[in-house]
Amino acid sequence: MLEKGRLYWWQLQWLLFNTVFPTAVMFVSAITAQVARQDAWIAILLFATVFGLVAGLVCYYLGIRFPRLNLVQYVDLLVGKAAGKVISCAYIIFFLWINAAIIREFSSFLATAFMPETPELVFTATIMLLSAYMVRNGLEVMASVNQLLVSVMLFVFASITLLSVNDMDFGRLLPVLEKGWLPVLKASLTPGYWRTEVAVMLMLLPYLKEPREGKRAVVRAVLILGFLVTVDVISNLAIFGPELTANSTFPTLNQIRYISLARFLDRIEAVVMILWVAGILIKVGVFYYVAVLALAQLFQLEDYKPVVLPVGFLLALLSDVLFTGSQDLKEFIIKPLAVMAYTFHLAIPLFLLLVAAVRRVGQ
Amino acid sequence: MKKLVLALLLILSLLMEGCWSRREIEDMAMVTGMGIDTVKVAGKEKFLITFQIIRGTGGPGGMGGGVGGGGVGPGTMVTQAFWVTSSIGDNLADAVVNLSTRSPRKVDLAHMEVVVLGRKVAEEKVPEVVDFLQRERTIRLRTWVVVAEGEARDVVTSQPELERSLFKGINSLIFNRKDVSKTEVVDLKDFLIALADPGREPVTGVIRVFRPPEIKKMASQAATGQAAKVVRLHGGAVFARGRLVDFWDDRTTRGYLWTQSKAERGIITLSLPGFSRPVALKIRGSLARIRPEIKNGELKIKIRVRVQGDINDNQNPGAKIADIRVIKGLEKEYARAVKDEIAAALRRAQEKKSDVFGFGEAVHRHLPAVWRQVEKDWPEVFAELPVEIEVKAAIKHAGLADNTIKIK
Repeated sequence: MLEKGRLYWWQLQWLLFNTVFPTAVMFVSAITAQVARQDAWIAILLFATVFGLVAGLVCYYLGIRFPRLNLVQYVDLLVGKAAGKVISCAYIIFFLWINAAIIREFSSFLATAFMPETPELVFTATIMLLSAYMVRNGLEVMASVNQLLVSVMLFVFASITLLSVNDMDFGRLLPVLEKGWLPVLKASLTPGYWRTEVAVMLMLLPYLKEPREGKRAVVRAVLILGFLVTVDVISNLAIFGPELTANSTFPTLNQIRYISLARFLDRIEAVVMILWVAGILIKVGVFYYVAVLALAQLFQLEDYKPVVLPVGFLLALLSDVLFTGSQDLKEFIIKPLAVMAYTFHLAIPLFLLLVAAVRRVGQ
Repeated sequence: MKKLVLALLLILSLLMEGCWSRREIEDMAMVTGMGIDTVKVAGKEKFLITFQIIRGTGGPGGMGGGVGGGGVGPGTMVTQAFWVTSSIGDNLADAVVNLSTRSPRKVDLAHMEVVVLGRKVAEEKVPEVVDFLQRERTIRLRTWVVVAEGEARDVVTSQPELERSLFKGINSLIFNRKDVSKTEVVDLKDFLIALADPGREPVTGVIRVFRPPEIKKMASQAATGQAAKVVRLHGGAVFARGRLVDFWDDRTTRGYLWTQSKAERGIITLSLPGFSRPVALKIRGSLARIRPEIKNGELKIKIRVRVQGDINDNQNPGAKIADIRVIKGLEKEYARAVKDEIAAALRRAQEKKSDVFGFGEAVHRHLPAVWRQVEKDWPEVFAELPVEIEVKAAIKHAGLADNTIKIK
């Protein structure tokens, strides 16, 4: 076993939460509002949650057939060695690709919104070094760090929501379902795939103290996400209206910048951003970790530590060369990444689950 | 080995503590407010931005002294604490950057509180102005947007009163507008929403520059040769389809405020039948509800307003103003006056086809099916829209006097 750490189910739950939340809260309301207008929250509350639950449960039922093995280990048992290696390779490439996008989102966000004169490479290098250190220390450390950060993040999120209640006009959410369900359904594809990111559980489930509790972890993670991201989208819409929400690059950042309590408490975005950065550190860390672990497993290394730095270097490089700028990145996030995410988070696990059921492999 | 790495890290952290986007406060030119105008330069129309910048430490004269130092004209004081300057460019972004050809310090818009649009800019250039104001990272959506009656630069170059900073003063006027209820000011966020979202047009405050009579008389003022212009904030600047279309007087603007539940405080003067002189009430808030409805296949708007007030000034000596029957009449008169003001605002808005009340928004929210039919030519529909106004008024208190004293 490459990973000797063991997690409690609630540690996994919050790890999965932070695998989705940090970037979702930054980008998702604008992208969703572009299609669903003032109904964006319905897309996120209902459909995205369904997508997340389906993906999460498929991955759970697949994983629980092999309680102490991860995807790269049991895929060989399911489809044979050759095909198994191909699928494992594809997953590793996907994990790297999506992570490159996440890292770039982080760097370009900081560069656009806070420090325009700093080269993006500096942000990339910083977060890669930090997460490399975290990944090297293993899953248990990452989960504990996450636990610490999550509690503060939740506190901050609740605070910014409460502080902006005064500026919200819930009339802006009317009329509900103006153009029917279709645009809402269409709009939910993006937040939907965001939610399916809980599928990283494919690699993490065997490291639970009791893998059967993974179901509870993933379902609760998806529901908590549904609730919090909906709160975020509703606040954005109620403050800025559909047009301005759809039109903003970072609606939630605008919301935080807009907070002003009695001409006394304002300009708090810097404090808030510290925690956001912390959240993204976990997100990058999780995808980084699963890529490293899968790679080590694929080549049957005795330890995954030697590949941590090379993979980190590769990630930093990919994040720089794959995208030219924020708009290019946004294009990628909306379309190609959605296709990839649904394939790797939903389609392939579903296929493997069917194979396992038909061939009666696993428990 | 470990110790070496640790030592290296420590040394590095000492060397690399700085960062790229660092700004020292004494190297910044913090803009507190700006006025946007257009000018013709060699036949080409360009943007002229007039800035008020905090001089901070190190400027000529420094921050020393308070306002009202004997014998010092207000002008001198201002030039010490603030730098009023301007720059020209093809667009806002260009004009802001061009200031750096003149400003020895880095221009910083993050503390800007007010943007003043010159009349011509508000009439013709709004589409060319809004994008930069939203896109530029340092500008906050909470920045107030006001319209100058004439040129915005006349506003920025006028004298602050009581406050040292003109824009701190204007900012406070904006916060105090609710005490008067004769103007409404929107911030950048609400301005953009009203420009973009269907069924509502923006109204914001008007800044008027004038020469106050009390200062003109002061001899010392004439001696310094300073132009003693000061500003007032009142009335409404009304937009339609991205253009300034109308300036409203105080009464009309308050007519609009009643419909938005935004008339919170202030004075309304009523003439009562049987009373030879007027009675003034203190407004104690308003609550309005706008509902669209379809009657006989026709779209109609219903405005219901509830207002409250206190008797604040009766100019009829000996009148039994605190008598409950007189108060009933006063309430009736109050309701009628409010209704008149709303009707006046409505007339002006319909004349200019500017749906400042958000009737379209109400139709959109409550009758989405109807909205789909009228959305396309809403300005025309709005101009002809039948509106029913219903006002209920209540007098709450009468201050520290009962009936007005008799004068013998």
